[in-house]
Amino acid sequence: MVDDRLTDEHEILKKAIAGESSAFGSLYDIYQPLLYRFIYLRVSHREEAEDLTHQVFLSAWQNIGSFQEQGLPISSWLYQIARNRVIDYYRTKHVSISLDTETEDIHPSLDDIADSLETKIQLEHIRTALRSLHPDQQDIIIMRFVEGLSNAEVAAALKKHEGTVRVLQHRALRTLKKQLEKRHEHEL
Amino acid sequence: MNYKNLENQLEQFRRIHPRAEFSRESKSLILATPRILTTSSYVSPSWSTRIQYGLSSLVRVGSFVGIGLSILIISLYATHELSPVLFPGLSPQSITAEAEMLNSNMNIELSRLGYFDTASQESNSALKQLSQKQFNHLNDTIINSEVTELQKVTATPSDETTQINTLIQQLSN
Repeated sequence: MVDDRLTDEHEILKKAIAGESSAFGSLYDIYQPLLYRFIYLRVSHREEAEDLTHQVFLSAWQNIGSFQEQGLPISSWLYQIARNRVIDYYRTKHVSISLDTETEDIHPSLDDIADSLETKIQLEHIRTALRSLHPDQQDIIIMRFVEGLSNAEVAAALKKHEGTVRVLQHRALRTLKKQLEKRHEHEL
Repeated sequence: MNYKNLENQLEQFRRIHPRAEFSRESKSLILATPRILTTSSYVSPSWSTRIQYGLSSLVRVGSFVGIGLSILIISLYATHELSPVLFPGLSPQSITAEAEMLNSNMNIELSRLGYFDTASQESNSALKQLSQKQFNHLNDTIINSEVTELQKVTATPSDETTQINTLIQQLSN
């Protein structure tokens, strides 16, 4: 089943590289929600996330011809573009989002995904803790546990060794857990 | 909170989705944008296609070069051979004669300018002398007239001098 999906995706990819817009449209349908989610969790602003996601896929469409040469999974290649866009976003706009603004921005999406107020508060705490991590650690946590990418895919997207990814992932989870426990104790 | 619990909570973010309207608009905009073709985007063309493409490229380049060379040769021929007939003013003899005539005209004008310059300098100095009265004692005419007056005075003794001389003679006698 998985093999069939991969074969189909490989065929779609070949057609997209050859310039078939409908094939690229299929890739867009598969990966756009993932990339949007990744960018949204990194920038915490819906309009900015939409704008950046659009830029990522526009760049991918215009440069997909050079994709073959790199020998990466398509997901890793797209995440590489997305990471670069996010880095540029923070570099050029000198964004310093206050905690209040961040909470306001994230509310609508959390309303959609949280079943209860308690879940929503918990997700807000996780989100805040996640944002306090180093950008590389944020990327790893989002790609591994939110997006469900393999260590190999994450390593390819971050241009790091798998071992390094595992170490960074462990450190990030530990920091995240500590922060959440600390916050929980503070609230009690 | 254990790690498994944390991972489960992180998975809940998977339910974040982009707005359907944004996805639709963005997709149509992207697919309407012309693609930048790179070499690797070609899907291994066959040898016949490559030869055809190569030949057509050669023909295209050759025709451009041919047209360029033809234009160059025609323009050179027109300049060197046809210009005395079609454009008599462009022949070397007429151009040389015109240049010589211009040169002589320029020499005449230059000599006239030199004459005017000298004349104006002389008249300037004369006017300056006339305007400056403190140099009158150096004027030749004035000096000559003064000399003549002086000679007249010294040549004819006055009545007082004659009377004095007569008195002296009487006394001495």
